[in-house]
Amino acid sequence: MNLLALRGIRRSFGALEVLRGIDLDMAEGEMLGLIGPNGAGKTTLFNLVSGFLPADAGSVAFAGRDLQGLSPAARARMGLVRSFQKSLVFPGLPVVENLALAARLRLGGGYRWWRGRAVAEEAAARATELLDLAGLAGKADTLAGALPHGLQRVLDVLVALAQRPRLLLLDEPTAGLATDEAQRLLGLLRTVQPAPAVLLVAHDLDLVFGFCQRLAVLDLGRLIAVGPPDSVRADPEVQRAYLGGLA
Amino acid sequence: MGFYLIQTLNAVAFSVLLMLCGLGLSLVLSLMNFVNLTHGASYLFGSYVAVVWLGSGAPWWLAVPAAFLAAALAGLLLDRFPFARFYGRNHLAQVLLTYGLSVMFADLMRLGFGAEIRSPALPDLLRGVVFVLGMPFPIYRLVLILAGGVLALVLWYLFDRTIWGAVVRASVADRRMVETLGLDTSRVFAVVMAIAAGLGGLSGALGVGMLSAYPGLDEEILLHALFVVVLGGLGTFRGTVAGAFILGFAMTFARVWLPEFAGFLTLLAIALLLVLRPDGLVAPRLRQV
Repeated sequence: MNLLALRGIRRSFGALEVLRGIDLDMAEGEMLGLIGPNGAGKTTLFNLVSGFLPADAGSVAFAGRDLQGLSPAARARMGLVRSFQKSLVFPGLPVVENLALAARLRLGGGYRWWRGRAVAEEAAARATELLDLAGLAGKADTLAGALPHGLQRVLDVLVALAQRPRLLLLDEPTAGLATDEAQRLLGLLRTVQPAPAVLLVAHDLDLVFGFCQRLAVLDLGRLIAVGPPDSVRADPEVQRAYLGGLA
Repeated sequence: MGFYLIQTLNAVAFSVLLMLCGLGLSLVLSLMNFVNLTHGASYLFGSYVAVVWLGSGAPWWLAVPAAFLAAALAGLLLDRFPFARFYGRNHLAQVLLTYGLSVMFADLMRLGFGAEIRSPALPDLLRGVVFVLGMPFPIYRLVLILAGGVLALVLWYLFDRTIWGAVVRASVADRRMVETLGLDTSRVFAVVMAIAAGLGGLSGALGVGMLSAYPGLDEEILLHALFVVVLGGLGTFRGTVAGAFILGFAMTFARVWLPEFAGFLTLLAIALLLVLRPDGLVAPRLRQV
């Protein structure tokens, strides 16, 4: 069974048809790159899958369940977590508390105060584990808002991982990062346990081609190619529409 | 000396009442950016609930919790409809909606509880006085001061020091981000609205032994609460407390010294302070959650 299954997704804004019948599947633990020129519909597709926008037609199924009508919060509780291009939920809290809070909310500690101690301990352990994994143990007590940009983006991804997602939708997580920082960040996604499936949008094609097992190319609201990096790179329609024939 | 001490205690009691009422208004305004002009109606509703409760012979010490719950329930219902549809709208739309509702609620309360001044049947325990430097001071007002102080501390801790408070503030800063953590922000806002309305009702129940309950009190209290919030500085807990105490002391001592000009002097003091500190006594920091 596919972890994510999109069927016939359509979405228009007024007369502008942004998504024109998208069919896409993702497997558990898979890293899929979603690429396409500006305006291709990538962010709209993210918004549809994460529940911030309704589709005009089509269905989104996650782990075999139809997500129609479910709020973003309900989808996140099921393990479908997304990041935004804008950074950080709690800039006024230390790094470790940002992570512990995200982990704690996922564990149900937000509402169920009577589970406080056990949940807090589990959340703190998850936060420490992620900080060690990212090599950020020394920054645990730094306020998140005081981190340099590159580390804030890392923290964004860690906050998402703290929720133990089954599917992570990452929208430009490497924007503004140097190549080595970006590689380190994406490397985290391969080492973290349990490893989530990742749907990644990034403009750095070398990075996407290097890290993702499969690529989906969106152009003017249509998926024009889906497959392994080599076959997508060689696809004439992709070269014409997206790479301008330079690849 | 004794006279001024008593007046100071009176001013503190009145300030605590203003503070509780102002905190309810400030919560919704600063955390949810929502102008709720039905807050005075919540206060008066709480006062009437306490009057009816105390007149019914039910345990007197449950009157305040009952008023809190009744007003909180009303706040919760209002949150579901129509407030939730106006959280994202501009302040003018919010003012028009909530002012209109407050006028309707005032008429409904007049219909239900009558147009006369209603005073509570206080239990014997709260009717007595204590002597301070030979001058009598009502026990009721001492209880009001203590209860108000404790409640203010609880509120400060809840919103400033708990995970839940951080979530509320984060929901205001960026609702979508909090949704991605799996939290239903509309539920968070509903709870804040219920607490704020409940605080209005609670302050009404606590204050009814001092101010009684009558039609028009809702508007007076709303105006005072707005003064407190604006004077203290939007969005600051300390500011609301400071604003309440300045207004409480100004009104009390203006009545003592120049009763015929009390309203004028109070408004003059507020105007002067706002000219000197347009952002309020405690300028709000950039909200950091």
